[in-house]
Amino acid sequence: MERGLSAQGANRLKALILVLLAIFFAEKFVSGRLYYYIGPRFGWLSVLAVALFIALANAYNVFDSRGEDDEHDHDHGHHHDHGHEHEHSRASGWKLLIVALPLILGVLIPAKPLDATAVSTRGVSTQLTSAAEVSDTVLFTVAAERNVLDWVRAMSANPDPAALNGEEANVVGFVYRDIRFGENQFMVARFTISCCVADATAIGVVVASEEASSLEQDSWVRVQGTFHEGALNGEPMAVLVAEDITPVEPPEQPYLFQ
Amino acid sequence: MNLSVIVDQISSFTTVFLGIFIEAAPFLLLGTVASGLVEVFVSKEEMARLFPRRAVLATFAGAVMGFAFPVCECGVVPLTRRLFKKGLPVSAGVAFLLAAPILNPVVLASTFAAYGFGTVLLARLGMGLIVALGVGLVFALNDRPMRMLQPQAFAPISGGSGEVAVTVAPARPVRERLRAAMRIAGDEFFEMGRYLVIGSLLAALMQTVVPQSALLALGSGPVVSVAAMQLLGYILSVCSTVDAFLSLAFASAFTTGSILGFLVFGPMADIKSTLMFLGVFRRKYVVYLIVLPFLATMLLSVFINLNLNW
Repeated sequence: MERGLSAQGANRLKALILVLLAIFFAEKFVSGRLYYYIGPRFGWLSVLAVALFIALANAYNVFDSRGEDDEHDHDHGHHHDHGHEHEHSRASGWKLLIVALPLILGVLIPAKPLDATAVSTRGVSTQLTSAAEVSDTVLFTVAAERNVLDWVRAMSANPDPAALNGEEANVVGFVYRDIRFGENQFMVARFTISCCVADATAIGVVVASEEASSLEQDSWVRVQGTFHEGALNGEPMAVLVAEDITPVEPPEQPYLFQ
Repeated sequence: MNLSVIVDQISSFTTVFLGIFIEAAPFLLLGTVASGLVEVFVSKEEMARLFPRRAVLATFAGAVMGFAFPVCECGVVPLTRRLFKKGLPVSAGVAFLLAAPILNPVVLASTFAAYGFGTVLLARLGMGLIVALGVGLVFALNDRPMRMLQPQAFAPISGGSGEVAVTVAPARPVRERLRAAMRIAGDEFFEMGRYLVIGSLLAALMQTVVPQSALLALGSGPVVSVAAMQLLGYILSVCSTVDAFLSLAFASAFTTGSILGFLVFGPMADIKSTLMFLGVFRRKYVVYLIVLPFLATMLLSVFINLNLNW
């Protein structure tokens, strides 16, 4: 790198990065970790990307060194004097590595879906009010089972805090708490995403339980209980009164998709 | 702040960064492949023949060209640059650059899926067209259009990889020309990809630093809500092919005008595309390319909020 790359070297590096990107995307897809990052309805795009990465890498003819060298020496002879060419190549070596940055970060930093930390650091909507407003527009989406998102939808469809009185719920989510929560309260929360994690929004159902203070922030739990009229920080809303709280493994698919 | 919090933040940051990159990369690949195919299969003469001479007509043609090249804001940048090289008028290129991420079949379909057939869909198309035409025509006033473009933007495509295409004369078989097109696409992926990577990094950083709630707290005023949603569109940097689904999340809390502001301005400029613009246009014109659509979109959106009961 210090002495810059020859045209042939740059092409080899490009082909290598493209192949590695193809492997990176393919691995994410096969392992299912792709959906830590994007919504499942866009999974096919990553498969397309793998094919295109390979097609582009293939065009560099790295195994056919004869033709390539000729072509590129010819190019540079026409357009650059020697000093210039050297500068240009050295710069392009580093610039190529910028494109490899997603690979480098993706390998060095363990893949992890967003969690409760992101709720506070991202500052995404944790207010139930705005989360409720968020979801009443997507009521037309048919909910197959009543998860956290479905309940939040139901609440926003009918903002009366007594509307869900007596409804039984069984939901999985991570524990989230901030200063607004009382001693016996926490939120069973999920991230919802519509296209990729860049638009992740936290939503959740307020849970009332004696065990609340013993639950660790960000740990995954299954909460069984019944909805009753209640309040969070003085604001009336439906609260899930827990009958049973069991720790669970984080689901393979940590987000809910709108 | 203890160490584990920092580690968690780095982890969230990486997840968001990879999220934007993984979602955008396929679209950038498609854009560069389209660009490579244009280079190899469309000659300068054909381009000149296809395009109207008159600035207004050419600008209009540029604005609706997205229906022929369904690209989003990542793919449109390399393709526009390639079309400039083939002699596309700058005003038409600017209109294409701004309009194509909205006026194209994929985005139409996703907007339809999210909102159905109605005011949002039609207003998005109409406003996209008006803003792109308006800004394109402003650029047409410049008497030295080529000076808006980065000279370096042409070095790599008129030298380097472009040379491959020149040596691949029409006499060469289609298979070879395809290979040349892929080669050009590959070079361009690296060139544009670095702007995408840096843009995604910045967008992910902004998201970990600027709380989304701070913008949303700006609330529902007819003017402020529009500015807030347009800024949000700029910062979020999600692909225009899917942003309609995302905007649904704000549809009830925000004014219709501000949702339209998000849906029209967001595709035209965001953090990652700004970085990519910088690779094609001179810095001063990049500012115009962002500020003019921002103000034009805002004007229309605020007008809708104040005068139309949508």
